[in-house]
Amino acid sequence: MPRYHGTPNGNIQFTTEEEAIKDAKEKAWNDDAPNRKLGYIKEIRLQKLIETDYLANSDVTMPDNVKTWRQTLRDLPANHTDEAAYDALLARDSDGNLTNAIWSDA
Amino acid sequence: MPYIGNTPAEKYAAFDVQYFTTSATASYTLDHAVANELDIRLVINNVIQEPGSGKAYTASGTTLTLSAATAGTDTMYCVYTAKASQTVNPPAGSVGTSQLADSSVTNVKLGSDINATKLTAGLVPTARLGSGTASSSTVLYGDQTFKAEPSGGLVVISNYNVSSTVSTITFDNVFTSTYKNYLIITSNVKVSSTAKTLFNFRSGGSSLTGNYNQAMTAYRTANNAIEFGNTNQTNFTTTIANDIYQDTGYSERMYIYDPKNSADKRISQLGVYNDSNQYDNTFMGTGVYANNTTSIDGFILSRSSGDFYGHGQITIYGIKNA
Repeated sequence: MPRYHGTPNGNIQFTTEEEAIKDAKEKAWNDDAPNRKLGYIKEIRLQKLIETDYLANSDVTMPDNVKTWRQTLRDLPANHTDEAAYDALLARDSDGNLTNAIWSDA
Repeated sequence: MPYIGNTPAEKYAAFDVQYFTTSATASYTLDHAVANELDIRLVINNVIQEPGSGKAYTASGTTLTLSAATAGTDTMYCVYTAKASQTVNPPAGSVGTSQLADSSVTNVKLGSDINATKLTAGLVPTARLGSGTASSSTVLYGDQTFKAEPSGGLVVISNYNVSSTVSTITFDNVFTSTYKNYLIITSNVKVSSTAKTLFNFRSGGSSLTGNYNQAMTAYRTANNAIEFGNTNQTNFTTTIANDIYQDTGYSERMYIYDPKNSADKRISQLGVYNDSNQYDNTFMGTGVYANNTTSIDGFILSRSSGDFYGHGQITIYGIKNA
């Protein structure tokens, strides 16, 4: 399908050259998808770790199951190395909630 | 004794009087025609004159004839004794609208306590509202004068409604010498894929790339802040380092400060969007386009991937110069 520039004076179809440039950008973007998805995963992981950081204070005893879960989160990049695995980790239900059990602390 | 019908109205009778301007003449003209001299009582120098032929005066029709000429120093008047003028005051509250002729109530007959609630239909003519020229582009001020409609400090320069799928949104020739500063409002523009929206200045129909420096910070519903800063980018991003989540809308206001000046161009941003992990972000940012060109006349929004589609609006305002 042709692409268009939207302008206040009407839409203008991309030139052949513009289409080629956009195609190249889209390809580069798609090729980089695994890296972006890993970035998203790391961001979620960081958020989850932050939420339980208070259990690492010296005056609190961190439960063993939380210790294990936090280590699992840290090991995510090492144990999930392809885009399919990333997609599984980023899966969400219709309400936008993450569905992979790995995100739930035991 | 009782009677049938309305109480008779009071009636007052008065006689008409005519005052004459005297001169050395025996002939005068009456204001009202009479049958003969007996219909009037003539008084000269406060002395009642005897009517009749061979007496002091005769009268017929409107002709009054004296037996001797008066002098200019005399005073003379006559009373029409056969002609009664009657004044009848109708009883209070007895005059209905049918007794009044159409258009017969004049302005001076109206009281000063007419209530505005009596205006229940029709339109008050604009000439009755105030002076000046009433038109579709004027408004009525408190001093009852029609003046030009106030335009405020923002003037709409251009607008684009995203009613179909487009890969860029391009505004050319919106930055001119008329205004120094500009405001761009992006209102709930939807994107088709999880990616960034990018901003580039344009000049003469071409996009300007490189030398875009930017610093941003955001707070999001994950209850934490994120920061972003970079120099010599290909473009500004209209969101922070994170991407806008697919099929969601983002909104932003961006100020463009003096884009035609001969030094760096500066912007500031404030907006909200749903990020790649579906956290709601509110972000603010600043940016510098390090380029001395004075030919910037527009900008382009593009996507690092995918399109804008079918929803939202972008409006460019010029900010009136001081």
